[in-house]
Amino acid sequence: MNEQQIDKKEYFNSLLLLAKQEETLTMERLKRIQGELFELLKKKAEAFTNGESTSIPIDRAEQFFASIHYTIGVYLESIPMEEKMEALNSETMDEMYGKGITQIKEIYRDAEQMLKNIQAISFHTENIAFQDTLNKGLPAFFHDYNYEFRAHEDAGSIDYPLANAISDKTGVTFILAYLKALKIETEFVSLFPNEIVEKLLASYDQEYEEDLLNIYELVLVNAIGCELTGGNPFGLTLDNEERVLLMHQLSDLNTTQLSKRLCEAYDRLSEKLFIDNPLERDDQEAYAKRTLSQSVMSLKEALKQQRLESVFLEIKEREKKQKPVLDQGEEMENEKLRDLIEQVREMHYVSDKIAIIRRNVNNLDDMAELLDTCFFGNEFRAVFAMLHELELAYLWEITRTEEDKILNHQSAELKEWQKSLLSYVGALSDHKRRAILLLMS
Amino acid sequence: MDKFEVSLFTNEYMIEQAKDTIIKTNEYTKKYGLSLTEKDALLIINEKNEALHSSGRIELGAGVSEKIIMEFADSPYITKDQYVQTIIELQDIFYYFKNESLEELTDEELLKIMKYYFDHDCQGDLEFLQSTILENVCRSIRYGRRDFGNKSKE
Repeated sequence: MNEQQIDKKEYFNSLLLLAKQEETLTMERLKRIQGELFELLKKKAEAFTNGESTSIPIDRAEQFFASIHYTIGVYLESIPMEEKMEALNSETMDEMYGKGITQIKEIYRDAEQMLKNIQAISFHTENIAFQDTLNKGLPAFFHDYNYEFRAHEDAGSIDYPLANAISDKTGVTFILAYLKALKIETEFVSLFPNEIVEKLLASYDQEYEEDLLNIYELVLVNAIGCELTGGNPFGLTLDNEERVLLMHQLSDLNTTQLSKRLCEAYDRLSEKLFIDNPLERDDQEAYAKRTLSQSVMSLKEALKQQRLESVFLEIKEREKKQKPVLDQGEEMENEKLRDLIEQVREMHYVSDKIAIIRRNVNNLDDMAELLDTCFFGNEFRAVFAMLHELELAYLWEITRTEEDKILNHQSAELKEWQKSLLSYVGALSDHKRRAILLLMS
Repeated sequence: MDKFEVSLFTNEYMIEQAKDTIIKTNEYTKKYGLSLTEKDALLIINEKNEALHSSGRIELGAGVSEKIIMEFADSPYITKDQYVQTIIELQDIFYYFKNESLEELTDEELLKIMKYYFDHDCQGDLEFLQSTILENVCRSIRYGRRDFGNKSKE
């Protein structure tokens, strides 16, 4: 028996079936295991119903049973192969379950810390799936995870696709593996200028904010393309001429040679990334090479079709959005606005605050209320920078009215956001300021 | 054994245990002139397993048959010749309404409600108990009301 034969998603059950097939566990022992599992299930049901019900719906029993199986599987997976059979032969299910719970608690703590580490990485994107997964879906997992009754479930909403999808895990072990991969991906893209990464995404699709795309793979492949042509990998762009050069370099190579060429380019790129920690460097290398080996097929196809622009992107300036996102839409109900204010105030990063406002606010008076209550100091600049000229004009108009009131002694002082707005528009170019003034009138 | 499934747990050992528990209730019910044979007990267990199956439930731990017997034994509407059949039907009703009450009622509460109405409004009419009384109780529960008074405590 070896580890590869075991189905990772059904670890415990798969191990038992193998043990039965290879007769490493006697029928008597298997029956005993079955009995002990039933006792565990009884305990779970009693705990769930506070001992007040002798029966439970079968789907709930199956859920508890899957949770018990998963927990014992987590323990068994953590010990060496030769000790697994020994454990199944000598330990009770109760003991193994207890050890599984201890492991799960540790994995949960590690995963929670890893999420914090990723959130602290200095990288921002407007891609909603990335932001929502990082700031909502994953925190929801840690809030909702229930190792007592649903240890096998990965609650929370994980929309953002990884370059290398994880298909052989569930529950908290899936979340940890997902976070490990997401950390590698996010650390890698954070080594490139944020603005250029965003432009690359917009070059991939103008509406990239709404897409379920993988940022890492797009950045990696373009950086490798730049490396192969001798360009600046941190520029992340390849023009037509460079793509022609790549056609010459790569079109005669078979899949293995192509994969080798890409991996060699990664080795050269890696030296320029200056990752100090050797462990992190190794993790990055392994992950990148795995991703590249998967990209080979689409690259091969693109070479065949002579359509390299679908793999190696050229960064183009994004068309400006014509429509202001905020307009004089309907004001939010008071209660809804209060909830939103609460939510925004609890956020640490200005980028998150902006993202949630972009999604929820349609009215500039609501926006003014949020500016008044949720932002401080330097944060105002970031908010103003994301606004359309028409929106700035409206907020400036509110500020000017307030200034008039002060002059007429009807009001005492400008609000903090209003003072910041005045200094913000004051620092704009004459041309831009005039454009806003024109809109005000 | 392709998979360790929950449904595999209705084994002979458990049936034997359940049978003994039911037979033991004779000690209490004999004062009401009621008693069960081993054959009766096995029939009750079989029918209970059917009821569990059709209501999509699994019994863990002490069975409900014993609780039903002990709760209903003193009812003036349980007769000797209808004893086994009444217990079987009460089991069916119990599991049906366990689901219908959205798990809001404990075993104890549901049994007390069933017993109260069986003895009072229904005067032993199981059809009336099931199709009218308990349907109303469960509808109240589904709408967030527990206006079946203190029947669950009586």
